[in-house]
Amino acid sequence: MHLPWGETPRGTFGRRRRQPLSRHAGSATFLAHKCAGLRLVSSQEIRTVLTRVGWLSLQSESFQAEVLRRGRLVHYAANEPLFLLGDPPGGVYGIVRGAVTVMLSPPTEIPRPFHIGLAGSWIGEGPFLTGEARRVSMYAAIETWAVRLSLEAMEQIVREDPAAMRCFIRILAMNLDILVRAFYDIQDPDDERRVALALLRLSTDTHGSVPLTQAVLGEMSGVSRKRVNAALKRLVAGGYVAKGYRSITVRNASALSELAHREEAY
Amino acid sequence: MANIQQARRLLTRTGWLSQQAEAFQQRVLGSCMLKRFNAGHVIFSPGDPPGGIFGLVEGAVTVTVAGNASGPHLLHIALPGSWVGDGSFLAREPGRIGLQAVVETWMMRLPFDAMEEIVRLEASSIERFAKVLLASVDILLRAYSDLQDPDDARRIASTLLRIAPEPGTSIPLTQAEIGAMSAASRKQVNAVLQRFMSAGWVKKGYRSVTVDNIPALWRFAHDQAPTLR
Repeated sequence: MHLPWGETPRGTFGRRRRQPLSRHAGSATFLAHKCAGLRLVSSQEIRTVLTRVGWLSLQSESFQAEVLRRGRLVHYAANEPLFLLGDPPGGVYGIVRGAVTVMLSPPTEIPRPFHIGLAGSWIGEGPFLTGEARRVSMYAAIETWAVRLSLEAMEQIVREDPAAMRCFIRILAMNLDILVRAFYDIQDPDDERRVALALLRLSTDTHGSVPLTQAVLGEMSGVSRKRVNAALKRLVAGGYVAKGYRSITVRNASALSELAHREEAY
Repeated sequence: MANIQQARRLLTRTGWLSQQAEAFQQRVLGSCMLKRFNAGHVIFSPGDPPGGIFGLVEGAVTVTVAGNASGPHLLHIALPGSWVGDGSFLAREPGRIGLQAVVETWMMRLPFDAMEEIVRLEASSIERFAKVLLASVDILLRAYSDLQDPDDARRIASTLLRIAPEPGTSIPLTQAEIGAMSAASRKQVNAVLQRFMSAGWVKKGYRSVTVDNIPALWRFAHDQAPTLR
């Protein structure tokens, strides 16, 4: 669900009230709102998260300010799509709180999860660069708040400063790195190592916890449900990861990495 | 051996450059140099300073990423008509991938400085160069999705289809390399290729495979019920 200024939030859960936040300089267009029983997403949180991790944190301060000034906060309930394969061109999304699942849908096949974007991730740059329809689908994995920077806003930023184009292309370069790594990981012939590699790829230094079911983890590492179960049990017993309700937390990333890159199967 | 006229004809007929505006095509081709690489020649390695992009005219190059102790890891094999670059021209950072000629290979090389000059003359050219990267995104998305298939034979079929642009194209890869790209062992590749050969879909050569029947292989790779059991 998109919540730009002036739209009334509608939702599938609880009562919600829209409530403007105190306006921080340079972020006046953000809509802050409050959901019954939920923490508030403040302009401060948006700024802190997006300038601390991920693509935007690597850009100049003036560019960051421009993106934050033009972006809009959007909210999605769990499983709600942000965009679907084939949708007309749209902007990019920076995840502030929550997580999104990127799904690949090759022709004639069932969509399969490819990646989970956590806070700080920016996804959806393709249409801005190609003018073409969406190549992937993206759903909220859990309740999610994101900043949406529309195509028009991106175009406006580049019109005012052509050098900004390189900044946006950097999103593509970073997402290409994830893809290269994902493909590399899934080429590993050992099932259990693939599971460990997928967990390392999805978790970040700041977010060890990934909202992930065993079925999704299995699909993302090309491993059957049964074998994911067995692999996870061993990883939990070894203290590498902990399982929560529909989530997996990497407890010891360096040990997990050592395990995943061991030459022999474990 | 390729000459510059053939190179221009091929690259304006197929691949990324053929989809760009004519003025841009001319600017790019006017700044390209045709270069020959011997089989096995390392064109660039991960960590090299920003380089340009290459339009493949004849031969084949492997695209690799830095691997673990077992050496570079094979990502893709590019055939004539493809353009490859590692993104460093956009990020102005050291490259992430390696490129190596598999057989004698001819490529049009657009140097980094020439790309910068083209962008300086027309800022929107950078979007056109970004599309070279987007083509890599498409290939990798497809590659990843192909490898999510739990069935060995279907994964191998998908890998061959991903690489072969048209029927009759010889893919200069060993069975071990096809295995690496399909997350299958050399033994599995060997057995599966035998089945594909008996069906008349592929031909095996010395260190190469040729896909003759793309539609049949495609149906096999995408059908939920494989026909070769």
